[in-house]
Amino acid sequence: MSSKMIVLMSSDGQSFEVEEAVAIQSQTIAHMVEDDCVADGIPLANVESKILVKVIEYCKKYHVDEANPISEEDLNKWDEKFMDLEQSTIFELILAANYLNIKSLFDLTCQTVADMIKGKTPEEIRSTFNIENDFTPEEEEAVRKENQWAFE
Amino acid sequence: MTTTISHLPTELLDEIISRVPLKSTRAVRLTCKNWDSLFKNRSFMKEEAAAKEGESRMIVLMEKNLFAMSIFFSGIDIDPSAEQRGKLTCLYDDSEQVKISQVFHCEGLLLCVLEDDKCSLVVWNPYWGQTRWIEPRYFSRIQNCYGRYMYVYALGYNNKSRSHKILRFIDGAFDFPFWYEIYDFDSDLWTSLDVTPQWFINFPPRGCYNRGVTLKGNTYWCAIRRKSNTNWFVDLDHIICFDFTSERFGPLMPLPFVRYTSGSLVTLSCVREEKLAVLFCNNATVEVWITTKIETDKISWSKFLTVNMYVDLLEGSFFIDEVKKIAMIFDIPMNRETVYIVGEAGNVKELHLGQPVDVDKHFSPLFVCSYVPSLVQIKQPPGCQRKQESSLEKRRCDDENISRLIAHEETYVVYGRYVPSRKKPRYVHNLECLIYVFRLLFFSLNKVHYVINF
Repeated sequence: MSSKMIVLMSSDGQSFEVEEAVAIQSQTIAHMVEDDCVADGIPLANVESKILVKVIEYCKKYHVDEANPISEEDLNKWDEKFMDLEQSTIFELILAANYLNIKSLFDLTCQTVADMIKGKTPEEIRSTFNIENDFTPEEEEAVRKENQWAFE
Repeated sequence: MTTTISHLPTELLDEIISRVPLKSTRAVRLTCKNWDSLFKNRSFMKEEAAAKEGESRMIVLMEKNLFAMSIFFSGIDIDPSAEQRGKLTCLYDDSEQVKISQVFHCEGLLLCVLEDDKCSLVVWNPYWGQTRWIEPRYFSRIQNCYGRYMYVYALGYNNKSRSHKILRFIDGAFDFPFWYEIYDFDSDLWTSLDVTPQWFINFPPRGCYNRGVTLKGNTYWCAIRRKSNTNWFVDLDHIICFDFTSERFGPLMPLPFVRYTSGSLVTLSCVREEKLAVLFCNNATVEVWITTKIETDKISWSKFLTVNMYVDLLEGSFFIDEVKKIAMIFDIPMNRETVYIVGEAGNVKELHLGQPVDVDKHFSPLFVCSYVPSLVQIKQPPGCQRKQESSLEKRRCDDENISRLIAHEETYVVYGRYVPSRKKPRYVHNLECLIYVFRLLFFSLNKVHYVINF
């Protein structure tokens, strides 16, 4: 049985052939397929090849059917390994998942970053993400006062 | 160019921050100005929708600490679970943590009664983090036999102006004078109210506080009719409302069940800020009724649930889920915080919140209220403005009331009224409780004797 293939083109000119059934996990691509404008391949101007490779890897893994059965537990373990990436790659994946409208990948990437934030002090958060502290001492004191009571 | 978090557009950063758990809110806000502003502008709808399927979010007062908690219940086949989403910590408190003796909820605002020397009041909106501290004018140190201060509190608002108010009173049992006062958030003033109650609210049913529940700005309590030979235990079958708009109590309204036995428990709960529910428990049955129509002077009820359940509830704060037809009842059997999830078919699931039984642990109330986040901003008191001076007459009257209270308090002490010390060993505490109860009975019997011989 031959499955329909489509071509995805990254912003830096590389082409990737992917099964349609895998690719349409992206709502953006699914709409294009519906509108029947995929004959010459789909240009993805906002996605670099380095990132597109990862996106395709994710979609292939999540294309679960009789030929490719996988348990939720195994998927979760795979997710952890998959997300063992450099920070900049994670942020680019977030941007790609948002542009391509792949909800599960978007949730996974955002949650990964949220997990990196949780449990840290403000100093640790700034250090992890290279964020500058732009509060003046008075401003910081004011925010502290506003959060005098908080669930922690 | 390396992509950093600061390169992400606002809406994507918002998505990330909305997934950060409650416990990390303070840290997020103190990271940088952008994050603080993002947090303050975050989507309220997302916050409301964040609760997962089968999750009930609530505020729990346990061992004098306040927790944000979630209970997950998906069905009778699956064991329920609880998740503590955060514990209240106070940045400016020099001691360990803020200790809270009571908490009340009014549409996203929490009124906390602190266990400090002055019984300070704090109103808090956990959504924004804002707090407002309020000092009572006068604080009586009288406690009942369970070691509880005898003030009753309520948080509500004027339905026309939407300005919040706090009601504070003692309606006294056995000759103690009444004392009613109301605090207005706009004027930052306490004013005495002139009330001659035909009811009791402030009595200790089974050792816990008789807690009011605020619905649509007005507060409701279970109450008993005040008669010369009131039998507390049987006559608790009324409900009364304090209308914060007119600043008046409404009439006593009957509750829908009849109590045949003494020692049964009656508690109230708010249902999705629209209705009230009342729970009635004697040792063999738990009944829950829900309002079909509710006003400050008129209530109609329909039965929600009856379960044959052999349980001796002491606290009994509860929630209901109208869709799943269940009630979640919070109690402390054997001094261990527990949730009973009961359904129509009589099935009961138990879930422990606290640690296993600790014999040294002092009895500490367990109270739960549903928490619905709201965008209400708490106005700070008029700082530089001069407070409006009350009229001289009113001032004198207030001082007279306070003097009367103080004088009576001293008399009360002379009659050997019981004020437990926390340092006393438990068995002495219990013995003194027993003596107090006998004294009460003796006093009541004397009154009956008098009536018969009249």
